[in-house]
Amino acid sequence: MELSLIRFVIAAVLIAGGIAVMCIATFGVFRLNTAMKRMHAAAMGDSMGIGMVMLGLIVVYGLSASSLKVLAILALFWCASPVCSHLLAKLEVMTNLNLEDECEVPK
Amino acid sequence: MSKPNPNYKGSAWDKFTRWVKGTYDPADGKLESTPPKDRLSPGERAERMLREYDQSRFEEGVAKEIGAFQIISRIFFVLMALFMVIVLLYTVSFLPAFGDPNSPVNNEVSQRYIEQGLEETGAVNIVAGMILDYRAFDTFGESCVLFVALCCVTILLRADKKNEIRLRIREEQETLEYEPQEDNILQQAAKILVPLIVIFGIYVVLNGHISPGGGFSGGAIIGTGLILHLTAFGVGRTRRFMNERVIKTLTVCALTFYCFAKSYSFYTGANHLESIITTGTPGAILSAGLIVYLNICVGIVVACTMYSFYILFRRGAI
Repeated sequence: MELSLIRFVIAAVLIAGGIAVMCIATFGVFRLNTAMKRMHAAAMGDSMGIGMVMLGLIVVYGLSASSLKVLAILALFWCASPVCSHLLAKLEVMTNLNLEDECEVPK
Repeated sequence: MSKPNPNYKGSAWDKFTRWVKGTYDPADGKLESTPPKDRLSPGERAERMLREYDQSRFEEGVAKEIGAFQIISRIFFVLMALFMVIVLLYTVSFLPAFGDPNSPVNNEVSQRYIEQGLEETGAVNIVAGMILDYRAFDTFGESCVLFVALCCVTILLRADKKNEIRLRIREEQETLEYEPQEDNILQQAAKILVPLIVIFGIYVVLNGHISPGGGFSGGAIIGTGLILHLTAFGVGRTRRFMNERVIKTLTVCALTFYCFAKSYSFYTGANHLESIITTGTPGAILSAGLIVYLNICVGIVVACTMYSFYILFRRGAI
């Protein structure tokens, strides 16, 4: 098999997998009922979905300046997303009065 | 003859002069609505919110009984949406086809921009050459619109002694415990991200004439970096380098420089005079005449506006 074909297949599988993960995450955000569960679903898209799509793009571009930029985007996302989740969760804990009913709260 | 009231105190004329000076208002104390006196504790506030929520649920149940009105209104909404869709699609059908060489957009103006833009402006990015050289006056207007919007927002939202409602809201907001105050995780992340974001914004501004980007996008990136710094480290530490004076000075200086530089360029160009501004070698950082400097000006204005909007809407003071 040719090298370019292998590369195309790997990239296609990665990108399609990433898009599938993003779709599941979006579905979860709309389907789940409490804020904490929704965050749980959204984190999947932010970490694995974005990661797989970007890895697929790196495979497409090969070793070049473009893939370096894609890596930078990935690093930015993986830095920013957990911090946002942390702030959201903090806000939810501070404002939600029925938190004990919705999920387990460690004392 | 001695006057009992030498300065005509309390007379109609005195009231009129004081009204003109602004120290007296005939409607004072008659029109104001009294603010709620009770300052609620967070627990009480939550209780009240819950009660209001129950009330809204109750009203929802009542609303379900007037179902006929709801059905008619929904049908009406659908009809309205269909009408808009049909009108817009009908209009679209008159537009020239995508890529049609005979469409009225493809006239000699865009042809000239594409063929001689690089040569005349020295900008590799033709869009930058267009908006900051051929149509620089238009971009100046856009920057001024941002500045005027900033002035209006400041007038409306600034919380000072003349705007007591905003001042009270601000005091109440500062006591809110659910804003990220001194959050260690956020601060550590911001320590890494803020310099990177600001440097990337500067890169986008400075490369505006070589690669896609420019003042507007780069300024927006710098503004988000500043907003992140504000969220992470609080107002006190951000104010050290971005206070009202700095923002005023930067914005006004940038706009003034833009105005004078481009006026010079237009004046010499229109009168076929020798201009000291040269296009330089296309592709270098210091090339393309004024475009780099104008990009920096636009970037400064956009960054200051973004940051000030955010802080004015959140706190009511820069």
